[in-house]
Amino acid sequence: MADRVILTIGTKKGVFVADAEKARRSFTLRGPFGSGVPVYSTLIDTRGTPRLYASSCNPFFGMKVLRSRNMGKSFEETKSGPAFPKDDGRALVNIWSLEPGGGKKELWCGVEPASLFRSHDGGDSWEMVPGRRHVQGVQ
Amino acid sequence: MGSAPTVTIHVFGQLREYCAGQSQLSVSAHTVRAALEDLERSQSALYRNLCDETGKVRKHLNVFVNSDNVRDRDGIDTTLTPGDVVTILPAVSGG
Repeated sequence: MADRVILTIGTKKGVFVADAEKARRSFTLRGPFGSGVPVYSTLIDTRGTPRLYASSCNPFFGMKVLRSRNMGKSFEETKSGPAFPKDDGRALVNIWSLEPGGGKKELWCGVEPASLFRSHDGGDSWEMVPGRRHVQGVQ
Repeated sequence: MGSAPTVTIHVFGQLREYCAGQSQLSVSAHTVRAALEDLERSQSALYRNLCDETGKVRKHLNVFVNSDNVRDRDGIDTTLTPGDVVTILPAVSGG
């Protein structure tokens, strides 16, 4: 059984992290991180060194992925977020889903408009998965 | 077309972390569009906050040349003259 329990909570005002001993008698709440910006998806990645991720969907300044390497004591933006190639003609509206992939640092990201992105380096760079783009009716 | 005029881009406070804390940037450009293209090359992190993947200025941002909103002039094709100040500000709303 884990020594601690961590919850990540995405809200319209950012992401909160709740932390408790394994008995869960009381939680300590930290945040919001990415303050004032909606977070629609979070991920607790326990592969290797644990990392927390949150999608930060800023209607003013665009979509970003936040990452914590210290179990939610602080978050930083990854070096880049998912973005459509220029010749695609679409622009990201929201990041709806973050999931771990097969490799230790592989991440998947589902976005609006409907597309799938993949990162091989823990969220620092992203590539669109082209297959999704070519499924009839997806666009 | 002659050499591009040098203009100042005023960087809104929240965005300064994307350009090493600078509050003003100097670029040479004939139009707002060219100034943004310059930022795309020289300040790519800042640019991604200002424009989406299609190159459009994000919809909740307003671009001013001196005191004129570019939507009242020629949009991002508004021409620039030496010494102009380009300011990009987020819209403010809510109660």
